[in-house]
Amino acid sequence: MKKKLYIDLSMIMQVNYMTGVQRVVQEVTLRLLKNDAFSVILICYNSENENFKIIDNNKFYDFFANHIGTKGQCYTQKSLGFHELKTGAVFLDMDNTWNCRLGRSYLYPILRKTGIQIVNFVHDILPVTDPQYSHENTVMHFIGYIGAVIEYSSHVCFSANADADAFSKLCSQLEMPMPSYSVIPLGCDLKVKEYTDPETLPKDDDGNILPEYRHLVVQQEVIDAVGAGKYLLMIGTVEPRKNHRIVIDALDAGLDINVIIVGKMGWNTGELRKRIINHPFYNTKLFMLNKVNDAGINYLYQNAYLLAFPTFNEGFGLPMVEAFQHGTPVIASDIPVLREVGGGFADYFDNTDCNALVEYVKECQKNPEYYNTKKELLKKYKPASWDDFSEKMSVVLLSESKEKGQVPQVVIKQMVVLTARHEDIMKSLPFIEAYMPFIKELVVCCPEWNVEPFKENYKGNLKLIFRTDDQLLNGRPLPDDHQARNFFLRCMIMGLDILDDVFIMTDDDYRPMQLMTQEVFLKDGRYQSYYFYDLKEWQGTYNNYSSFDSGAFRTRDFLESQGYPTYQYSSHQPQVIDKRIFCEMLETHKGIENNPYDEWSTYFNFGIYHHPDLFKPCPNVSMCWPGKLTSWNLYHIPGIFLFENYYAEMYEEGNIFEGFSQEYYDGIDSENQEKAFLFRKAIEQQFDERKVFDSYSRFYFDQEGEYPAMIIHIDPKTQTLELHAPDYIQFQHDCWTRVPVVITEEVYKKYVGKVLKVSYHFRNTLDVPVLNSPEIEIQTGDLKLMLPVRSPKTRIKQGSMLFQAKIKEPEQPLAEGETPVPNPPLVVSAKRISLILT
Amino acid sequence: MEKNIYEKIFDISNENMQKSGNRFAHPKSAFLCYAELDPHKVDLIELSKVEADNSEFLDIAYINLLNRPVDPDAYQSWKKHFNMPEWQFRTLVIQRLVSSKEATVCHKRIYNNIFVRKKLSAKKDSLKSKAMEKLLPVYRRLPEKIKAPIRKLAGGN
Repeated sequence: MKKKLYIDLSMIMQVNYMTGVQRVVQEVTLRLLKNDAFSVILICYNSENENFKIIDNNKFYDFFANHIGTKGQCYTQKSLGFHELKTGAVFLDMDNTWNCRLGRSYLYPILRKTGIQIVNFVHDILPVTDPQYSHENTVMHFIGYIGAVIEYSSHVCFSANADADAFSKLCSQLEMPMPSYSVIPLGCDLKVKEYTDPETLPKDDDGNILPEYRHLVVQQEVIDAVGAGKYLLMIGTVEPRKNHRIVIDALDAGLDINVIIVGKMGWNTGELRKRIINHPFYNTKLFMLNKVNDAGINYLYQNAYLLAFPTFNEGFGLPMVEAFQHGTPVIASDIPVLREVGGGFADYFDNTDCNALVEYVKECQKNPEYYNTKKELLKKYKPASWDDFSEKMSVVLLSESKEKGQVPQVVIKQMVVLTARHEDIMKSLPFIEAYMPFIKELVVCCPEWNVEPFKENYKGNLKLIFRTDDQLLNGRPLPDDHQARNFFLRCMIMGLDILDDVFIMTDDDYRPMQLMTQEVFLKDGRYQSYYFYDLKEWQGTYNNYSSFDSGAFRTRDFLESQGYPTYQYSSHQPQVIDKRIFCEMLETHKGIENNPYDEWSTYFNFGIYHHPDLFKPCPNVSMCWPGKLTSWNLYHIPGIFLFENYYAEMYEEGNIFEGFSQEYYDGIDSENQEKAFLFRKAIEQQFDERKVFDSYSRFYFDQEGEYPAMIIHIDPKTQTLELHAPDYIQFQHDCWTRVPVVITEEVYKKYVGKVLKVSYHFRNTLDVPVLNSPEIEIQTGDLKLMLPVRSPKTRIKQGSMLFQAKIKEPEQPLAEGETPVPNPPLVVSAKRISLILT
Repeated sequence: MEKNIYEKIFDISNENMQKSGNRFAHPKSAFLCYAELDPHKVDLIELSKVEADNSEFLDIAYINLLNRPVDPDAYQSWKKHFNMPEWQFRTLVIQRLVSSKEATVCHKRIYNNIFVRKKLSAKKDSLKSKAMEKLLPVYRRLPEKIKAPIRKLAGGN
């Protein structure tokens, strides 16, 4: 099976130049495309659509390897959301992506959430260690990039040990563990070849060489500069770090050789450029060439007397090894990374002393034997090739790729339930026995008084094993909070020796709805982990915060503090648990069991972070979660309903499942299908209604440049309660739509101990009320909520919506017989909004 | 509060910068802003509340709304407003940047905009309300028999 590999080419596709970093990206990508072990997907950030564009592999190869076509032609029409990369695949980030608008501190947490392994090639960390040589904007971007690499990378590659050492030092300064790493020296097999005679190349009607062949011809300005005499070559972007200044100083101090500077003009080089252009030797002994093609670079290397490399610091020093390969001796800065890469093949000098350079060149010219010995030595130089480099990279990538699941084949036969109401689980068990035939054994954790009635009343075929709460707790007190109790008990269960390594955890009211195999839980070697939301977007159950919600918020904070993914796995359906991984979590986060966390989200996000190869996040397959569709906006519509989260009230008169059987009987399948149909219809309706509001929101954004929201705030100038609302709003007739409401902290600070109530009133074009909402009390401290708004049934197309916020004194509880005291609002703020109904 | 990783990296970079005898031109908050940046959206209420003085806020607003720190020329022209009260300065900066052409090119989704009123919609609204102002007195003078079907037609009870 091929390993899936995403390569981000956002920068190389954007820029028109080819520096050392771009060369690495190009050479490795071209080779990985031809490597059968990988299924490579080339991607490029698309800021307009907030996703990745997919690049055509063949066209990319043609353009970068054979100069056929254009970069623009490489893009396909396909795109990929940041969340849509395949779990277990590798995301290879080699380019200088700190310059990409899609910051890595934003992207990497998303990738890790979906179980993607991130492999980085860190070329250097100079913006941190030597920030004076980088543009300040580069340092700003680089901090976010390198921090994200340290936090989220699975494996980091460096081109030299000196870079790995600097990175390791940074990690220890940050008190962060060093990620696993490899040192892979860059390849440098430039194609050294005879130059093409321009006369032999195809030309257009005007006699100009066709664009795709121009890179084969050495440009005339290069030939002229080379022809001017023996020269010292400098290659690389012109920027302060490269220390071109010292070579010009040497020229002024009597350097007796021509100087050719090649490279694009970089940051902060205005002064240097002026100095070069105004130099008395300019274009006689001192040459500056930009935009030199590959043939020209080869020609310059081959004919150079020496390569000067006086850089202050480097990640690798590619020009040095390229010069070696051309048999050109090198005089380089005496710094650790160049000593490591150049070894005995180069000579070194103090890069702050221009006279040292003058003397060295003089010595070489005076002593041709020494110079020729150097040239002879270079014949023995064997550079690492790009093939070698790519081979080593692919070994790293294969070891990091965890696309193929690694859960050994297991037979799941055990189900574990926590219950305090044996009647409920007793009603669910016939469903489990009928539809989950692979379950043979039920471990029941319950209060002691539940055990006997359970045994007496159970007539099924499952082997029952009981563990009482007292046995689980072993003297430890049970927390009062519902969420804390659940989490604590489930953590305690992991200590039971009767548990299988892999089992199904359930609650007493989760009922399967159709026949299934264990593949629902363990497929292709991966634990299927069912989520129903992202905790980062969770806003709580509407107007009814419970222990579940506060547990969810605390879990979100915990997961974020650990850098773990944040999907919400309390999907109210059975889930598969690997006891060993659960215990690993308890071991890693000692004392975690004493917190009121959501047990499902904590376990699965821990598992996915640490074992992305073993888990697969999947959208939930549970029906009736939530039971009331107004409780929250659904995150997605489940593709299939395999389980029902049973609520007795849904079967009561007037409710969605009125008349359906609440108990199992042979042939209930058709009822289950019908229930699934009804529930799906209800949630699809909710989605359709939301679509109207979503499309209005997008339209409003296009027109007004902002997304619509009701905002309750304190005007900083007048210090009064203000209500900001969109100028117009659109709903579907007769439906519930959730409208974003934002309350600023200042409102609560100004009106401490008071109650905030909102209401909305629909009026037709004649200002006649058509629907008035009750006053809805906002939970103190809510800063953002999605307020369910009921739109009118009437057939009007237009009208207005009056949105109102009131601050009131809290209502006092009335004693019996006491008449309520009027409680007039302290402040009212209202806003009239044009209404469109569709 | 414990420093996050980005803050620590900034401190190390800043120390190295000072050792080299140089200083960063932009404040620390501008550096950290990049690490916490959502590349696609900006919440103006949250932006208006960041802890920063007027000079720092300018950088943060530029980075959030235009994806770049303030350039030296713009900084000079903003400098004369630094003495303004905080809320006034912030409102001014946000209003100017949100309405700028550069912000449009940046494709940033703007949320919770309590700072910039849109003229176009206000104009539309005022036209509508002017029409209603004229029609309502006429409607009110009508007998109930005629009012009722009009109300029904308009969707009222």
